[in-house]
Amino acid sequence: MKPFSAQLPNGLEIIAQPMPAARSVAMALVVRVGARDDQNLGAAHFLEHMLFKGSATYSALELSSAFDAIGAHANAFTSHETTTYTASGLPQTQSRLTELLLGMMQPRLDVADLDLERQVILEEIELYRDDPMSIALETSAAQYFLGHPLGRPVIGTKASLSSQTKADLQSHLEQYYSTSNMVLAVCGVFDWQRLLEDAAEFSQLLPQGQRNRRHSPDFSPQHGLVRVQHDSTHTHVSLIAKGFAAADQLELPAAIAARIIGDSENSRLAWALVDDGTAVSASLEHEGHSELGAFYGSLECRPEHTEQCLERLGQELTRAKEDGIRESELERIKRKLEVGLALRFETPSAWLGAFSEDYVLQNDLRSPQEVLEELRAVGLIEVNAALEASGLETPMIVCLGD
Amino acid sequence: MILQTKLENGLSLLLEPVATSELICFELSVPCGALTEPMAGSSSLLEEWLRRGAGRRNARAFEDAWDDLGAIRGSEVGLEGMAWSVTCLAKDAALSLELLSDWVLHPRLDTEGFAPSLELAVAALEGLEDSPDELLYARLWNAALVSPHGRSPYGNKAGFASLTPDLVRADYQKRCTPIGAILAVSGAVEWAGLLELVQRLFGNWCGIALPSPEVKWNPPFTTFEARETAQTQIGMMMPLVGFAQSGYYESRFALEILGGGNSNRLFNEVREQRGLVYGIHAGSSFMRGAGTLEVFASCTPSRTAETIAVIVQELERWRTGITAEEFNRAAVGIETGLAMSLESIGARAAALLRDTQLLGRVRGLEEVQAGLKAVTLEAVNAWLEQLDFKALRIFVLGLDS
Repeated sequence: MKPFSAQLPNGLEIIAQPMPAARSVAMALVVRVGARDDQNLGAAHFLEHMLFKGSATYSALELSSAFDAIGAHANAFTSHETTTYTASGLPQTQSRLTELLLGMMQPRLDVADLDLERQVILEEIELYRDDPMSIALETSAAQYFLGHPLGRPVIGTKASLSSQTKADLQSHLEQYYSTSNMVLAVCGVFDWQRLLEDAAEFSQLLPQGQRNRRHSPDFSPQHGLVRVQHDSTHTHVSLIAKGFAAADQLELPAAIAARIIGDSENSRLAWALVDDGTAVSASLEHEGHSELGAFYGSLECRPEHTEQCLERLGQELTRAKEDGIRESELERIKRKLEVGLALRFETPSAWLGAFSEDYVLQNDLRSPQEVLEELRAVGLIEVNAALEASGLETPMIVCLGD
Repeated sequence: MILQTKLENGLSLLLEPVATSELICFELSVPCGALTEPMAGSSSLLEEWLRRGAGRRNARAFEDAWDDLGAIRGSEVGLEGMAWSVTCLAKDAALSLELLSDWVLHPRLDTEGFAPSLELAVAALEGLEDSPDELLYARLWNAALVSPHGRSPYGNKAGFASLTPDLVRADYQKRCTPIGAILAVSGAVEWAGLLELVQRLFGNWCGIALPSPEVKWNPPFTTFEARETAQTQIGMMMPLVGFAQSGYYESRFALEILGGGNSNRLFNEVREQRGLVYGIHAGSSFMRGAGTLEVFASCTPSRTAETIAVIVQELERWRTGITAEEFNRAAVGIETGLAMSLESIGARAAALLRDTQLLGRVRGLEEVQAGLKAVTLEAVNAWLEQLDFKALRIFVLGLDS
C-alpha cells in the first residue's frame, strides 16, 4: 500500500504507512536537530531527556503514567542528525498518542529537574566508559571527522554537561522545536483523516518558524591507525572510511557491499578473521548521513592476535575495493535483505525507523513494495562502483587495548 | 488455532498457522544447555562447532545454502537448552527445515574445527571481563544458586582445559536428544505437510532422557567484588513464583508496576526522583518449576549505598500493595503487550516454545486472557504481601566506595 503524506498549514509534515495486517500503531515525532547542531556539546541529547520531565500540562510522572494508562510504550533517541520521540500502542490509542507526543514538545524545563537529569546523563556517560567498543567508536569518530560536527559525541562530555544551563536548552528548544522542523511519521493501523485532524489540533500551540540547519564546515576525511592504551581484556577496533550521503545513489549499493564484506555470518570478514578464531567478531556496515556517509567497522580479538587481525582486515578491505564483489555474493545478500524487509514489515515499530529516517534524510517516501523493488534493482555495477568510489583502502582505525 | 503432536522419539512439534504471513519461523530447543553439561563450557564449544558444516556440506557450503534461501538464522546456548532460530520465506520452508535438521542432527564435528571453536568459546568467556553488566549477571546467578542452575552458559577456564574433540562428540551424542526437544513453528504452512516433513527429517532421531535437576538456592547474601570499573554494578535476585504455579498471573500485574511500564516505580524513584542511575531494570525469569525476581542497576561508586537502599525501600513498599489506578494501568499494559506480540511470527513461535518448556502444554490466547481477566487488585496485593525480601541475594561489583 502507498504511504500517505501531507503538510499542515503550520508546516508540520505527516507521513504514514498503512500496514493492514498489523495490530498496533507506532508513531515517531522526528525533530530535525541532532548533535551536529549542538552549540554546547550534548545539548540536543540533554533536551531529549528533558522532554520526558513534564510539560506545561503534565509532570514527569503524569506523562509516563498517561502513556501507561493506554498501554503505550514511549521512548526517544538522539543521533547526529535528528532527535526522535516514539510511542506505540493499540489502534484505538491513536489520538491520545498524537496528543501526548506533540504535547511533550512544550517542556517545562524546571531547574530542579534539569540538575537531576544532568546526574542521570552523567551516569549514562559513565556507562559507556565501561564499554570498550563505545570508547573505540567515539575515538574513531573524533579522529575521522576531525573538525566536522559528526565527530562530536552525541551525549556530550562531563564538562559540557556541567555547563548546560536552562537558558541554553531553552534557546535550543526555541531555535529548533518548531512545527516546520518536525515530521510526524506513523505506521500500522490508523485513521488518516483523524491523524490529520489530531495533528492540527495538538500542534496549534507550537511555534511555526522555519529553522535552517547551519552549513557544516568543509571536511577532509582523516585516515591512519591510532592506538589507544586501555586495560580491557580484548582488543577493540573501530574503523571509519569514506562512504556516501543518505540521498546519494550509491548509498544503497554501499550498504549492500558492507553486508557482503562484514555481515555477522558468511561474510568476507567472518571467513577471513573469525572462522579460524583469530578474531572474536568482525563487522562492517554503511551509514548515510545528510551530506556525507561512511562505512563503520568493528573488530574484537585477543591482544595477541591484534596485528594479524589488523593486517587481514586491511587486506580484505583493499581486496573488496580493487577486485569488487561477485554476482553470487550479491544475489545471496539481496535474498537475505529481502527476508529482513519482510520481517521488518511485520510490526509497525520495526518498519517505522527506516520509514521516517528515509523521509527525513532523503526526502524519500516509498511503499514497502517500492523499497523491495529498489533493492532488487541494485546490480553488480552499482555495488562495485560504490566500492570503487569508497575510501575503504584509507580508513581511520582506532585500536583500543594493551 | 494451535496444532501439536509429540513424535514417538519424544520431539514435540507445535504449529500456529498464520496464513497471511509470507514468512515462516522455526524455533527449535534441545535440552543440551549448561544445566546438564558434564564439563563446564562443553555446550558453548559445541554450539560453535556445530556451525562448521553438516550433512553433505562443508562449513562454507552450509552457510551458502542458508544464504541461497536468504534465511535469517542463529543459535545460542542457554541454561536449560540450546536453541536454534530460523526465519525464511514460507515457500522455502521445506529446504530450511532440511538444513536445520542437518545442523542439529548431522553436524560434521570435524577435528580441524575443534580448535577454532574452542578458541572462540574461550574468547567469549574472557569477553565477559570487558562487559561488567554481563559479568555481574553471571556472578549473581552463580552465587545465588547451589544447583547447576547457577552455571554460566559461557563455561569456565578449568572446564575448557579438560575438553577434547572426542569428549565433546560423546557429549553431543548423549545430550542432543529428542526427549524434551521442542520444534515450534509459526507462519504460512499446512499442518499435514509439515508433520510429514518433520517425521521424515527428525523421526529417526533418538536419545535418552536427561536428568532434570531441581532448582536449589544458596542462603541469602550480600557480596561485594572489587573491580576497576567506572560504574558499580548492582544485582539482586530471589525466588519468585514459577510459570506454572499459582500466583503467576498476579505476579504479572505486580511486576508491571515495579519494573514494567514507562512510569514503573523503580524507574521513577531511583532515576526520575533521585537521579541515581541511568539504567534500572526489574523483572522475572523462569526455569522449569521455578521463577526468580531480578533487579539490576548501575551507578557511580559514591551512589551505590543509596541506590541499594532506595531499591530495597521500594521493594518493601511494593510488598504493601499497589493502588487501584496502578492495577488498571498494569491491566492495559499487559493486554496491549499480548496483542502486539501477535504481530510477529517469531514472537508467536517463541511463545509456543516457552509454554511447552515451562508448562508442558500451550495456553491458547483465550486461556491467557481469561487468566489475566480473573486477577483482582485484592489478589495481587495478597500475593505481594507474602513476599519476604530477606530472601534477596545481592551482588555488587565495582570500586569500593
